[in-house]
Amino acid sequence: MTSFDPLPYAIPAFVLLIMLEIAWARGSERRRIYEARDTAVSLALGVGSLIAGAAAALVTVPLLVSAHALSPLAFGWAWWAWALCFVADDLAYYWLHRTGHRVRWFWAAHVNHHSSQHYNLSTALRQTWTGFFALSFIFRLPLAFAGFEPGMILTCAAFNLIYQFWIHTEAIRRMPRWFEAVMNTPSHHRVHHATNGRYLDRNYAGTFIIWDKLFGTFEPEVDEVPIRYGIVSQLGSFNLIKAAFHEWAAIARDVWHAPWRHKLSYMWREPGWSHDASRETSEMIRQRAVTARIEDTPASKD
Amino acid sequence: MGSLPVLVAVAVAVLVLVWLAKRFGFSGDVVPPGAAELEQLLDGLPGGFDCRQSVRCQNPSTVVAVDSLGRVAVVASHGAHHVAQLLGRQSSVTQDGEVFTIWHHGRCFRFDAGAEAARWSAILSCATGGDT
Ligand SMILES: [Zn+2]
Ligand SMILES: [Zn+2]
Repeated sequence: MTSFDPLPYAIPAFVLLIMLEIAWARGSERRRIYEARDTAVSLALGVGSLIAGAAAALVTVPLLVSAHALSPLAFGWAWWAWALCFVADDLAYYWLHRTGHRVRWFWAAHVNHHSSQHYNLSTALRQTWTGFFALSFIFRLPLAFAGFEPGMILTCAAFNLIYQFWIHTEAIRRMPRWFEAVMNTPSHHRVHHATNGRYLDRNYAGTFIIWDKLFGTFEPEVDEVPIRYGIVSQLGSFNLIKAAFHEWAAIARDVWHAPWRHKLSYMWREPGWSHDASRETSEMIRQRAVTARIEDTPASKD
Repeated sequence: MGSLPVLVAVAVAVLVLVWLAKRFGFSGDVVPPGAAELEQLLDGLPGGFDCRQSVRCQNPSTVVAVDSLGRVAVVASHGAHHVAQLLGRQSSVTQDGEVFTIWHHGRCFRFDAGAEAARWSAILSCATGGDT
């Protein structure tokens, strides 16, 4: 299978840009942007995901090749096939990412990307170790069935991931309007990493923000609302193993203790769901935030 | 590009970046949470938190708060930020006169309840599902 992995070539740029951001964040009002222990965990998760991804490729690549072999179509390597594949892969990423927030099984693999209370370029490298175990690759199989070359799909997926690196920063407030309208940007992605009720489970885009606008999950950033980063129940730990696996352990605990008829629900329902309504889902938190905002609004004069 | 040299280079880069972050002093300057931050942190707890009383612990960056439902939350620093968590059965409390010590996820919260010791004893006992 022909394939080109651009990721190793991007790593020096990642390192350089993180260095620049660290230097920029030295100013007193920005001191909370970085935390050495948090950076260590984020980068270690990034290195681990490289290894996990390489191991998973032993299975996922043959699966993509088999799916492509079954396809009645073969787009080949034409330039337009590359362009189409990148857009189609970004759409597949949108649904993978949305499912990663709405189904606890997939959330367990994605949560480590969100568990930092910091938002900086090193946060971008907090990638999963358990994506293969969660079966996240099934979201890209339809692309191979549709006739795209497996090598092309993997290259496009890697470029998509590289694109998402630079948007993990507070150093850029807004890009030009036309860019903000079409592309995923630091502003849009800050909303995605926020735990504020109004921002929860919004802006799932990888490269193009148009998918969120199309499927009703877009939320613009409001400058007056200070963002709290992280997850609803903050991890409160710099333990790498905890960061990588805590939600899997929580699922196991919940499934073990749940009544038989609810066991599966603790895996496939949304994060925060519980059979006795003792927890809060993102919709419940959002509703609470909306109600609070209504109560905060001064009554009209009529 | 061979994968082993790439991994070694990445590992070296990680060490350099973490050293740089430490060198520049990003090691979590612990700042006690302000009133607004405290309110936001507590509000983020499941079901919100209608705070009725809060006490600053002997370590001023930690706070213990109780809401109108009798739930008890502890707020502690985490690096340069803070986390709020609800006490539960996994938490434990000891009382020495008017001083309470709460253990929650390996962290310690100690405060002097003064004249309100009896009330706090009942609240904490209820919140942790046991006796203080
Ligand atoms: Zn996400
Ligand atoms: Zn992100």
